[in-house]
Amino acid sequence: MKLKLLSILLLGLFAVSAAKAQSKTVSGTVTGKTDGLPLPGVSVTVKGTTAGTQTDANGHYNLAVPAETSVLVFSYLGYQSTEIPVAGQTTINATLTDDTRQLAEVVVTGYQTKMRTDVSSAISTVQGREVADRPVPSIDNLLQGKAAGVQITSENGRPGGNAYIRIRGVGSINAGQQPLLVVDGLQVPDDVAPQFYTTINANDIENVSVLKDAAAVSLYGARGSNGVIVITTKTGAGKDKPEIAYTFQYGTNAKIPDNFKLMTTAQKLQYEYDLGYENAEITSYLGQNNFPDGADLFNITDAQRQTVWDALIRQSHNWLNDILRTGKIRQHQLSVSGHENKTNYYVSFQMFDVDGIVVGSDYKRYTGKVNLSTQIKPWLSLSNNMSLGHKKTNELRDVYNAQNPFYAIYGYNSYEPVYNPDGTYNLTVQGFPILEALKENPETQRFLSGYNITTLDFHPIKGLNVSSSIGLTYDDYKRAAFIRPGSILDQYIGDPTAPGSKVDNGSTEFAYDWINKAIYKFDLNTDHHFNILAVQEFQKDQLDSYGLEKKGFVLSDYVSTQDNGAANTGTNTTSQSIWTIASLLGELDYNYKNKYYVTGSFRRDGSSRFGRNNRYGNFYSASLSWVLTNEEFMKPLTWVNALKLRGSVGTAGNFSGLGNYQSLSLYRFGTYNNLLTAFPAQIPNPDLTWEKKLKRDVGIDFELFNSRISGTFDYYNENTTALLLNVPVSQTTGFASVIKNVGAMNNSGIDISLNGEIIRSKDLRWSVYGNLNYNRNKITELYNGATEIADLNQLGTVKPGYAINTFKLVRYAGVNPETGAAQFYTKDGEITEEYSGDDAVILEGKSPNPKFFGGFGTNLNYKGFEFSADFTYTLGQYIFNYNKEILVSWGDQVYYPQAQEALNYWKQPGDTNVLPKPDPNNFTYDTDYYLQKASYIRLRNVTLGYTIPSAITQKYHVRNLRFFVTGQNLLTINPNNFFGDPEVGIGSEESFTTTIPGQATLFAYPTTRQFTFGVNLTF
Amino acid sequence: MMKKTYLYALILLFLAANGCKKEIDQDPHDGIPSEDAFITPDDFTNAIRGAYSSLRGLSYYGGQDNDAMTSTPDVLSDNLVLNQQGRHSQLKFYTYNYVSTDTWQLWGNAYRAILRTNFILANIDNLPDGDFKDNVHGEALAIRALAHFDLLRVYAKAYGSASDADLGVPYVTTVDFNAQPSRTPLKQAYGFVVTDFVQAIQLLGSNNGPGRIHKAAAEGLLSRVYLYMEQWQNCVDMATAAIDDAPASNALATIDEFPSIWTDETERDVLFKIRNLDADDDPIGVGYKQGTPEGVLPEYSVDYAFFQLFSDDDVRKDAYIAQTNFNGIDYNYVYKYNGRPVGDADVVDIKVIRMGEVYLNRAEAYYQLDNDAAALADLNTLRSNRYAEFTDGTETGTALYNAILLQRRLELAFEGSRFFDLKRLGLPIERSEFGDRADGSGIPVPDEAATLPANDPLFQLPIPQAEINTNPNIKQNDY
Repeated sequence: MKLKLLSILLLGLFAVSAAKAQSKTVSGTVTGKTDGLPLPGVSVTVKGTTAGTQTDANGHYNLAVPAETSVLVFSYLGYQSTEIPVAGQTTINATLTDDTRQLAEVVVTGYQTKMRTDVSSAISTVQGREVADRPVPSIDNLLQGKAAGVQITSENGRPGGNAYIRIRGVGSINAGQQPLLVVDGLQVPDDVAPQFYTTINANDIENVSVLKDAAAVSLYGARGSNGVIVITTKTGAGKDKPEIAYTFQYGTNAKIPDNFKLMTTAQKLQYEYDLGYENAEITSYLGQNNFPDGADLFNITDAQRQTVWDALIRQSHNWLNDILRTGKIRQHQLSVSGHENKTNYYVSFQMFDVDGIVVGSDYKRYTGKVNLSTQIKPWLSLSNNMSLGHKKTNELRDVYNAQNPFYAIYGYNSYEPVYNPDGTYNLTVQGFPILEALKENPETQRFLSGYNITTLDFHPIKGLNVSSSIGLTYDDYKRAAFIRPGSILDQYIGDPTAPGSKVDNGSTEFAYDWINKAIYKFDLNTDHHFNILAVQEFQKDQLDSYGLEKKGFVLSDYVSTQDNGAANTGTNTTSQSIWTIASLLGELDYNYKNKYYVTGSFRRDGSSRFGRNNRYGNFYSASLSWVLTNEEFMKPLTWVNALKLRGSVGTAGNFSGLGNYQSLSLYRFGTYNNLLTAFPAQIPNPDLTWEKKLKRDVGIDFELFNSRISGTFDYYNENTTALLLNVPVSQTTGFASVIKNVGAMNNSGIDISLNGEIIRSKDLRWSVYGNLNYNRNKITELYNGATEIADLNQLGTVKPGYAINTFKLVRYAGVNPETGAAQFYTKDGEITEEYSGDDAVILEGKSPNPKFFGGFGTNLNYKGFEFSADFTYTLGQYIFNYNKEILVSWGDQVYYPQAQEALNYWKQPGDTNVLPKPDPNNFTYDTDYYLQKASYIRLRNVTLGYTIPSAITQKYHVRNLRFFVTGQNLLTINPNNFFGDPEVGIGSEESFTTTIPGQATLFAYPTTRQFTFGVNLTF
Repeated sequence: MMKKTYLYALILLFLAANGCKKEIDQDPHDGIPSEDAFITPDDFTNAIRGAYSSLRGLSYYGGQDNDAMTSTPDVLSDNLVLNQQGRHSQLKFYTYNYVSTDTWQLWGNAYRAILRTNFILANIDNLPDGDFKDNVHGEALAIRALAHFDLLRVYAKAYGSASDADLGVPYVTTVDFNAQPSRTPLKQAYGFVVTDFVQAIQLLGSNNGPGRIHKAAAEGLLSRVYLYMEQWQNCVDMATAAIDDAPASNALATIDEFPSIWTDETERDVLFKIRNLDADDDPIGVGYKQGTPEGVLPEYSVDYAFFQLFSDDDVRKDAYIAQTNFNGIDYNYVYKYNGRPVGDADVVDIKVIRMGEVYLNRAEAYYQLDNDAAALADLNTLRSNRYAEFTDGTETGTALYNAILLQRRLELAFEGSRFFDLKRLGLPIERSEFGDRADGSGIPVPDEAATLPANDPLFQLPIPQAEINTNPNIKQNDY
């Protein structure tokens, strides 16, 4: 049905192409006003028609114009359009003035490119230079603080780690919350996107558009509801001469210091004594130093005890120094780009190494890129964008035990030596030496990710483009984890008769995305401007994975392939899964005299992922905008350079984060007694479909005072319905939950971004920017009859009327001043000494969702010098601080290091505002005592650069030579005295049941600080 | 020429759209629709194995160091003392600090097993009548009964102390994903357990090989259920049936054979065990101890008072307990799950019902029926197969009773029985004052956890909060 519509549309377009008449040729050269250099690629059009051309590399153009032509329009990205009357001339040279107005910029909306003036939707743009040359290899992290309404939270501080991206609040409970990633027009499958963010070279990026409101995202239908991030890579267009650029960067990577102190050895020993704990070092000291049989810490004399303690204090050391290190950062990048005849090219290569702050967390990446586009015929052009990246990382366990070095640094006591007297590793109180494991249990991951998109673009008549693109995305993952024979872990978990084991697993995900697109731009007389888009798209994704494991390896560093294992462990697996999505979509833009804009869009999606009863969905949007500055009555207000009001409404869906066959009633297979088993895998739900979101937005874009002040303001209100929830069911059914489309939530808030150019002179330029998002999340409905969904991490709740994941905890009521026992509030507010999970109450207003977040910063340029500082901030979120609960325990953690704060406990009747009387048999319960507000402002990046004057460098045929230093995470403002680092992503990947970003700490890879020095050299 | 181009473009679009339509249906590569899962006899064999494998759930018989049928009931009782150098696992059970949000998660694990049996039972008539059908039918019923019985042991009162109003657990016999059943009254639920076992016994084959329930295994399990229900004559009858029907390969193990039970080198004594192979990656023994490069590190030490009850000529002593020196300290630890001669450490099959217990069930029931002679005979049969230097005992009366209970504690030590035995007998838990070290010194049980009075509410573990939250018909225990 929709196809018919499309074909009618296309046929209609052909008719328009019929009329064509020509009479004479005008030619000339276009130059820039400031430097007088020729401008290639300038669009030259005959006003009121679709006829036009572009200037060549020398800024020259030839244009056949109708006899009656009166005016030529010269327009070019970054310059103000200029209109010149023909008036019988055959040579018209034009000089274009730089345009500093924001509204003049080009915005990539995904399926097409529009002038910002023509866009009636909420789109934030980040320019490539804002993310270039940063010592951080993940693009998602680099976007933090750059775009209003886009909350970026690093998973953790691991080099090359990804970030959680939430556009305008958390839009889903269980389905995907990440935005769709589109690279050069290609929709990247959701589980491949994280690899793209970390293997695409940020220096190859031309710009990033963040699509936020319905008018922008409805075109992405079932995949658009979390917003869309559109990355466009560089093309080489507009380069008058071939440009060879080389960048080198070198620096260091280290942990940011803690804001708390562990007990000193003496304090810890006293604490242990007071709690009646004799540690193993003391036990063995007593055994080896001629103490009588039966002597223990508590029956020897004070002097003897002091002797023992002194011995332990003498051997104490700081495990941080033993386990952590300062890593190195190295980056080399070479790019060649330019425009030759009818061909644009951009080719780059990058090598990027970041050493982690412990052995075994290194990141090493190679990326290559080739973007080519060429005009084959006047009506046919071809482009191909290709990028390939390989990254190799060492992986650490992210778990709450000493297998995680970032727990180990707080888990080993300072008096425990690294090595035993015989030179072997000391197992310590944790029973596990991480330093040995980092060497003997190596785990590496390799990713090969990339994409290629080939587009054949017909433009048979002026204004019409018909194109077909085939995009391929590819992500290959290989992991090898080797537990070397004889290693400590092997001695714990291995088979003594077949020592050593190795797991090789990995996956290949390949998708193709076929996009057939027609765009037709035309005007009806001079006042009515139309732009019609019609697209047919199909994407198919296949994921194959495998896992192999063997045991019984030769004791050697090099012989570790599966072939060298003696015995299968029986866990050899492969899997395969496929999803498809087929779509038809269209968009119509109309404006009257560049004042009144109307846009409407429609999309229909069908996907294999959903239940047979609900497989297809329709999505639409409508938007309006009014450019007031194009009205006559605004002309007198010369200080208002641009003012636009806009509003949009529309729908989008969310199909990510779900299994591919989740709607089906399935029996799956396993083994018992080495024989096949079959078992029911899930509760079926044939009604399963995507989450639906109704998005509404009103906004203002403005530029004032010669465009020195510019900004946007948006108010939005988004209702998500049909939320995909793992609805818990009575476990007597044999399952814990079923996935259903139930429930609703609302996000409303404002996005503000402001830019100011305070000084704009030839030698000195100073600008500031800032953005802010205020978001209010509220769950409005759950499934039938349910009032609340408990969080599987047992910290929060999802309940109508409250923000998602609002904390629900037992309230701590301080100590009983008489006995030092911990007290709690019951549900009803009574004080009790009995802890009961039933007494947990919802702590309204306390959730991991920030109240405000954003970024601000400044740029200063003076002659060749430049300085920039970028801050990011997140305010008002609460985090459950397990790190504090463990390091400031009620005595049950006496075996392990404790923070000095733990010494502030009840000692005598009357003590209040102290920790409960510690006892090794206590239980440090999860209460709101360990829930902390975690607002922070962080100086994310400082860059100081100097460009050698070109007068000097040009003597050496160097076009540009720039030196720069950067510092990352130099300063953190922690107004709530959060215990540890308040920037929290996922506390522990392996120890939490569900991932709720920013919910809790648990010894994650810490945030790191980088200093780098770099050189940009351009020929 | 250009017109042709348009035409091609259009044709392309049509082709693309039509080609995609059938691609919208995608079937999985790793599963089959449930309606196709019960067609051939092999399907049923796979499904019944699936039911057995669910018994190996990580909070059930396959548990390691969080909650486990093989260790939690011993941690909860007087057989073990927390080892101070261990990882302090299961501390909440050791100190009776469990709450609904942090309790034994057996609930979900057991009902998963029950679902798998109910799927089989709902489709059982797809099989042609005959021995194969009867056997699978019997196995499913027996697993269903066993899982419910285990739930009752953990979450409900002892049968003997329960009134008619006391609640058991929901007895689930259908596949219903929307069900929110209330708790079946305790006595009624025990009745259903018996019904299922009785029917299973009529259907089961006499030998299904290791890792599957056969007739004698179901009879042995039912003798245990009757013992818990204090139906002494039924218990005697079932125990006798089990002893008579058991294949020779499962007969009571002799002294020479006994240690091989724990290394899976014999099937003697083992009426039913859950297979647990290296490939299953489930080292159940780590609930008791871990091998480390510096020696074995116990999680729990054997209580010294209990340890002294094992005489040196008791074959069980070395089969169950070993000594380690860790950081210069000697400990007695549970060696029972140390592993097979070849294979992963701490991985062995999980013994669910043994012939030794069947004799003890019958001895206790005979005693309760005032048949001291028969009770003594069974006790002597067992003891003569456990003690190297044994001459028949001559106990009567209370001495005989105490001897039976002692042998039960010794025989079933560290096999997940002690807590349930004290509970059903209405006895308190009274822990010794010995510490964790091999000589009884070291840190003992903290005072507040030293005793648990008889019939204390803490004998009924809290039902997991997740069930309370999702099923309004479940009444929580008063723990």
